[in-house]
Amino acid sequence: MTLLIRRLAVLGVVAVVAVLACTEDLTAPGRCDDFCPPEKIVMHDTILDTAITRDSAYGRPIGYINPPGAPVMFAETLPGLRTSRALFRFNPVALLRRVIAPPDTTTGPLLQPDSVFVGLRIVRREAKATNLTLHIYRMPLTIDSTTTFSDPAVSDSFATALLRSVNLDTLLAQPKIKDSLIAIDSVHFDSTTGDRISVDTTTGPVQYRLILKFDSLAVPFDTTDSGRVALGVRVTADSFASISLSASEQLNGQPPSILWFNRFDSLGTFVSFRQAPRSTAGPGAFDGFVGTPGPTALDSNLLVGGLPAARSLLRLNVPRGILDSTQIVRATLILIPSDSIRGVPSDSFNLLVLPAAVDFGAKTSNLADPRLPPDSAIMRVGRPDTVQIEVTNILRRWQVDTTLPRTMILEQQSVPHLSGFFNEGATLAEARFYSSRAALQRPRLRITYIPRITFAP
Amino acid sequence: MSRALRRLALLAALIGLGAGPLGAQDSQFGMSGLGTPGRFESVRSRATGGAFAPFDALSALVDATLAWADHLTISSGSATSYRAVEFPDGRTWTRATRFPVLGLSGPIGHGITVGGGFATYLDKSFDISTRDTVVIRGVPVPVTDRYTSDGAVADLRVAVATRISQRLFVGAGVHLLTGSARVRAGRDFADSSYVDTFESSELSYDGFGASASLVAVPVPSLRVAAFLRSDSRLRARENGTVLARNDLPTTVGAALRWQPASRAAFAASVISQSWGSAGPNAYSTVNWSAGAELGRGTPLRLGVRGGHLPFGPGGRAPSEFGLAGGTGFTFSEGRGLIDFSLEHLSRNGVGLRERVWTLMAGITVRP
Repeated sequence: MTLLIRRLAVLGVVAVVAVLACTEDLTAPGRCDDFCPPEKIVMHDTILDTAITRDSAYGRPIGYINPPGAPVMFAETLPGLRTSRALFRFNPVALLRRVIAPPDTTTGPLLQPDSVFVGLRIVRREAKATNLTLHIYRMPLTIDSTTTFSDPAVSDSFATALLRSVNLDTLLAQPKIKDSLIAIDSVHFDSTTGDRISVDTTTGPVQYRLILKFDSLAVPFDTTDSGRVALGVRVTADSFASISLSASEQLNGQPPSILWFNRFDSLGTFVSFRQAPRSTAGPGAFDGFVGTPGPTALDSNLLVGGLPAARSLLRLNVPRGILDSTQIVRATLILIPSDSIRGVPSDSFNLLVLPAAVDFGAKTSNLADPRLPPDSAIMRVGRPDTVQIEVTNILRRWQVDTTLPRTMILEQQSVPHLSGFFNEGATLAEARFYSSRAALQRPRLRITYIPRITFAP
Repeated sequence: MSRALRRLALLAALIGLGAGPLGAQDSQFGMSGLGTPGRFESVRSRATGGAFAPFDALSALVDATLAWADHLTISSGSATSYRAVEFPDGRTWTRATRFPVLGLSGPIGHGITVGGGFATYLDKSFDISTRDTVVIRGVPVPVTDRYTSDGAVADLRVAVATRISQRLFVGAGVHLLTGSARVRAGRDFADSSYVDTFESSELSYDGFGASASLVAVPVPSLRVAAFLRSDSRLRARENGTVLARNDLPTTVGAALRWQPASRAAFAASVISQSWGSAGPNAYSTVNWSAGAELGRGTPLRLGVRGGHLPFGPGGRAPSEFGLAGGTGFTFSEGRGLIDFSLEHLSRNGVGLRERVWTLMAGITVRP
């Protein structure tokens, strides 16, 4: 072997050794107790019966969301439970007159329409409801946020001014067509009435875009009121007659709309003129609902949800020995309902538990931290079971940020609708829990934690 | 810089590349005590089972041998270990790299040689994973616990040696024991309702020791060494708070080196250490070794060693037996040396058996 080859061989061996030595794999199985470190991970689990104190409910009679500001309108006929009806008023039409024969600027009045289309988006319906029928009524233009269910003008209108009824099941059974004129979508089309409906499954729960056709007798073009129209919706079904309609307050929603096809006398020739669609958003418009019975008042229990939307605050007094000196691996909030949630199955909602950023009582704001997703539990209608919500994230956040108030906010979040979640005000269902004033059923906190480990030298 | 020195620098860089942090666990037995004691042996001495370490100026075992360092000498080494951990129901391989020894020595005049450096005194690195099922809230939940420690206690040595007469060399040294370990204990849950958690800390260690030794040369072909070392105590702190004080051993040893011919040398040594007072699961040990170095230039080194480890569970000190071999190369007219060794250790204790292959590379520069 020459000297050069020998040196190259040595270099090669050293290089191989160096490369091999660059990786490590130290992990070995442990056989406790003999072949493990002396320190041990020990877990404790305890229920803190009196950790929750000074709990309060807020939101009645003025709620965090009130009926006029709700993102949806309710139309429900639930005997023995509640009755709700949607009301809405469109804003004025864009034009009452138009140019007869350009370039002559002389204008003529728009005449009674050939047809009028009213669009509604149904963001929730009860899946079990059969023969679900919407009844459309003409309402007085005076409806506003102060209108009540027992208002004579409203009750009289619902008693006498029925314009149309449409059975959703029947309409959905109609063949589909491609509608490029009104819905700009594939719709189930009733050639007799001109009604159409499309089904939207892209947002999770099935939603419907319903377009009803009226004539000028049902919805006249009243120029004395700038073409404004107010309508009301009542629903009936074999059972579970309950729907929610998108309102103008819904973020990225689709509130009721109206599309006028006026006739126009153009030098003796009658032509159809399509107005720009109007909605229930903006000046002069309104959408909301009325119902009975009205909201219940606050009592000694904790209330979450409903309309006006209520929230409850829990103030916690976790022993410092746990909060300051342990690793909390699981924390569960235990709430005992004082009453079952009433409504239809689709009224089920999420109960959120949010950490408070500051504690100002009713004006307490929650901590907005995208790294801290809220803890929640699904609240199902008709189930009076004890509710257990994981709040581990909140307690661990308290451990690292000692400036935060030890306050949790219970808030309602309804099922997902268009473009995300409704946080509050999208269901009339509400949850009631016993507060700390009920000694045996008070809220409790269950914590599983690992005490500080003393490392062996 | 000459071509030869450039090559040496390249080799040193390659070895340094392989020299990772003090992050290896030499033995799982050490977890039941203070750690795994290091060996104050150079790579060339490891190739002889440690038998030549009492006569090797590059090793940090016997201060008196520094008297043979007639030039400024810098040496270093790295070791890569492949360790099989064999429990009765299974075997796992681990792999780790250490940087166990660095030495610097040279004469300062008047017949005195000064040396120093560091060596691993106690290796405290380990990574243990265990699986279990614990009942939480009345429900069995599978968990995985992981305990890790990354660090070591190093022996920083300053020693002097001189020749008393033609036949007697003496040396003495002081040892500062210092180091730290980043420790971490964590638990992962199979049930996502529970948050995986861990806790970590950093422990620091300090201690002190002193050593003295002599080497006698009764006849030119024979050398006899005797050495003594006493270490005080190891103090462990966490955030400034003293967690523990453990007594450290007194080491007594003797060795014999016989060179019947210029191309053959033989050595044997025995070392006793009083680890038994270091705490629970600790035992005093006696370790022996014997080895040979045959040939010159590129010698063949062979060795065998045996004895016990100082820490282990079960009321009995784990036994250890090892075989080693290696060689070395000289470069640049003797200014650079590269040594390689391969060692196989077999350790047996109560409930555990370990098989360790260690590949070492060392470099020595005499500028």
